[in-house]
Amino acid sequence: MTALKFSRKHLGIPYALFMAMFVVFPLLLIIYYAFTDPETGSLSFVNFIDFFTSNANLTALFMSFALAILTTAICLLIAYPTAYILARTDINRNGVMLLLFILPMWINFVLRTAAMKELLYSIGMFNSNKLSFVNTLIGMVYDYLPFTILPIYTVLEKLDKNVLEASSDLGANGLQTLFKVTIPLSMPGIVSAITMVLLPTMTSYVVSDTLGNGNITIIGKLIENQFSVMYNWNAGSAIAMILLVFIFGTMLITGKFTEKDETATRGGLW
Amino acid sequence: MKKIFSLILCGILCFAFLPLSACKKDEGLTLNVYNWEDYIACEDYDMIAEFESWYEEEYGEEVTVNYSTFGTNENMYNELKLTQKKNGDYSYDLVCPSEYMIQKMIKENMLESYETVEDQNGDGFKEYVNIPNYTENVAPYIQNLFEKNSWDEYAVCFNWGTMGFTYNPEFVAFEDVESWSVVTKNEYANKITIKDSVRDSYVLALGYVNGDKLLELKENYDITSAEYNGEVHKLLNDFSNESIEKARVFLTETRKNLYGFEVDSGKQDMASGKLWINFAWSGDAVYAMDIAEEAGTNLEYVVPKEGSNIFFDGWVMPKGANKELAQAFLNFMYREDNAIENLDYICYSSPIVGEDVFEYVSYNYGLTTLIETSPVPDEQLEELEIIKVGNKYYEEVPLSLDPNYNGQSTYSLTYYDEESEEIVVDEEIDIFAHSVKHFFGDSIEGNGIVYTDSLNRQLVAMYPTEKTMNRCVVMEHLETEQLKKLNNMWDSVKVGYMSYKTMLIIVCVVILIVAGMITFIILKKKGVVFARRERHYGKLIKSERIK
Repeated sequence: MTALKFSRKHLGIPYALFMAMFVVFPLLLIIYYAFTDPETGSLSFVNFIDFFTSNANLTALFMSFALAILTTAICLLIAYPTAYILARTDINRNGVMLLLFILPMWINFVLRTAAMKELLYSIGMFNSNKLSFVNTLIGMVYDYLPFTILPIYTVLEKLDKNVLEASSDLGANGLQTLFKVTIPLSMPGIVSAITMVLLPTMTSYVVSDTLGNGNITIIGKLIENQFSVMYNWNAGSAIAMILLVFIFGTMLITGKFTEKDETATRGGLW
Repeated sequence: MKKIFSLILCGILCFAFLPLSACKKDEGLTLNVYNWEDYIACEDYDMIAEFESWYEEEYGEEVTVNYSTFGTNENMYNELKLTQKKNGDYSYDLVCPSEYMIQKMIKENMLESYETVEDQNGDGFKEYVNIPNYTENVAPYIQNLFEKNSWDEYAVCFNWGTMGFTYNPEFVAFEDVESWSVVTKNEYANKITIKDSVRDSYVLALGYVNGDKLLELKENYDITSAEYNGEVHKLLNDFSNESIEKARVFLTETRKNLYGFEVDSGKQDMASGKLWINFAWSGDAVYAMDIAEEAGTNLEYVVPKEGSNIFFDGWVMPKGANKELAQAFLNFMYREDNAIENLDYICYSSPIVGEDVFEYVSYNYGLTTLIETSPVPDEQLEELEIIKVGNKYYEEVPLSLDPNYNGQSTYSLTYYDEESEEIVVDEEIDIFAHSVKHFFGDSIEGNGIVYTDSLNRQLVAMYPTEKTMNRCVVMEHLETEQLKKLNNMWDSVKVGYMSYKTMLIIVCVVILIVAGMITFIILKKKGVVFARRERHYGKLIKSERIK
C-alpha cells in the first residue's frame, strides 16, 4: 500500500476547487446562455444580433466606455502623485496617511454613494439634470480611487532607491527620472489599477442610478434589466460576454505597454 | 499536547454540528412565504412570530415560517422557476405578486386554487371556505374586480393602490398637477421624477399621448359607469406600434425636463424638498406624507384627471403548496386587528374593511376633536386613552362621532396642547367630508363619512373617491413580444441616441491611436532608434567636451 504523500502542491486543491466552482463554471454558463436562443434553446447568435442592431445598446456601450475611460484616467491622475508622495516621503512614515486614503474602501459602497449624493446636493450639483454625467463621474472616481492608489503605492514603495540615484548620477533631472525611470518601472501597478477600475465602472449602476438620478444608463444597467425585467437570461449573458471580450481586449493592449519580464506580477495572464 | 488540542477541536466541531442534526430530525410544519420587501408588519408587532405562536395555541402543532422577500415581480418569477422541484412542485407555499404577474402565473398553470363554495351569506360573492376572515371582511369592490377578471379562484387581494403624483403644494399648483401634462411644464423643470420602470412610466406616457381622447370620454360617458371605465381601460392598455412610438418621442422630449428616474428614493427626496413632484404609488405617497409631516412639510397626492393605473398585490399558492397551512396563515392575517397592523406598517390600502378599520382610518387620517366625558379612575386613564385636565375628563374622537358637529364646512376643533397642558380651541378651519362608503359598503353602519382638512392627503390617497377609482384601470399582462417592444422603447429613452456615423468615427480614431502606439513600441523593442534620442545623445557628448 502506498502511503498518501502530502506535497506542497496539494495546498492548492481548495483554491482550484473554488476557482472551478465559482469562476470557471459560471463563465461556462454565461457562454452557454449567450449562444442559445431564448425561445427554442438551440444554438444561435440571435442575442448578439439583437445587441448589435439596437442603437440604444450600442450607445450605452459607448457611453459606458467613455465613462470608464474617463474615470480610470482621472483616478490615475489623482492616484499616481498621491501614491508617489505616500511612498517616497516621510508623510506616511507610520502608515496613517495611507490608512486615511484606504479607509473609505471599508465603508459600505451604497452608503458611501448615498452620502456623496447629499454632499453634491448641498453644493448645488443637482440643480440641473445636465450635471448628471459629472456627478456620476465624481462618484465613480471617489469610489474607485482607493483601488488605484493601493497597487501603485505597493509598486512604488518597493522601487529600488539605487536605480533613482543611478539615474541622477547619469545626469537626468527630476522630471527625466520620473518619466524615464519611475513611471516605466511602476507600470505593473498602473496596469493592475486599470484592471481594477475599468470593468467595475462599466457595470456598477448603483452609482449611476443614485448620483445620475437614473439619467445615465450604463451597460451594467442593461444587463440587470435583461435579467430582472425582461426575464431574458440569454440576452443578458450575451451583453455580459461582449463586455468581457472588450475588457480582455483593453487588457491585452495595456499589457503591451509593460516590459516582458514583468508579466509575472500580473499572474502571467497576458 | 497536540493530541489534546485535536481532541478539543473535535469536541468543538461535534457541538457545532449538533444543532444542525437536531434540526433535521424535527419534522415540524414549515410554511414558506415569499413577499415583497417591507410588506408585512414586523416592527412593533411581528406578524410572523404572532402567527407561529397563535398556530401552536390553536392547533397544538409547531410551525416555522420561512419568510423571504423579493424586489420585483420578475425576480420572484425567476426564483420560483429556479427552485422548482423535479415533480413540478414549487418550493414556496405563499407568494404575493402583482396582478399582471398573477395573470401570467394563472395562464401558465402555476397556481393552486382556493377552496370556494357558492354564495351563502347573500352578498353575491363566493365564499372562501378556509379563509373565513377574508370572505367576511373583504371589500365588495375588490371581490367584484377579482371575480370580474377571474383571478378570484387563484388569488386573494393583499394590498391595492393607484398611481398618481405626490406633490408639494407650496410650489406646485393643483391645476397643473392634476393632469399628466405637468411633466412637460417648464416651471417645474428639474423638480420632477418619474418611475425607472417601463410598465409604470408607460402609463404616464399614454396618459399624455392619449390625454385628449381620455378627456373627451369624460364628456361622452357617465363617469361613474362601467362603460367609461372600459373605454379608459382600452386607451391605457394601448400597445400598438404607433402609440409606443408616440410614447418614445414624448418621453425622450420630456426627460430633459425631469430631475431623473427612481423607484425608491422619491419618498425621501420629496420629504427633504429635493423634489416637488414625484410619480408615485399611492402607498408610497402616504408614506412620503407621513415622513414629510415629521419634517414639517405638507405633501399632497392626486390621481390625474385623465385616468390612471390601479394595481393589486395578491396572495397566490404555487403548485405543490401546503394549502391548509397557507390558508390558515392568510386567515390569521385577514383578521381585522391584524389587517390594521399591516395597514399601519405598510401604508398601502388593505382590501379588508369593517368597523375597526374604519375607526382606525378616521382616527389616523380624519380630523379628531376632544369632547368632555364622564370621570374615570386615574389608573384607567391611560388604558382608556382619556385626558384629564384640571378636574375635567376628555376623550379624543373622530369628528364624525362628535355629537356637537353640525356639518358646517368651517369648524373649531378642540385639542390638547402637551406643552402648556391645556385644552386649546383651534380657530375655525375648513372641513371637507370624504365618504368611504363605496369601498367599505355594508361592513360599516352609517354614511361612512370621514372629515378631513384636505382632500388630497393620506385619507383620499388610501381610499379614493368612487369617481377616481372608476377612472383607474389595470394594466394587462404583456406577451413577450409586446414587452420586448416596450422595453426597446424604454432603453432608447433612457440611453439616448448616438448616430452610427459618430460611432464609426470614434471606433476608427481609437483603432488608429492604438495601432500607432503598438507599432511604436514594437519598433522600439526591435531596436529602431528614433531621431530624438540621437540628438539628445549628441548634446551630451558636446557638453562633456566643453567640460
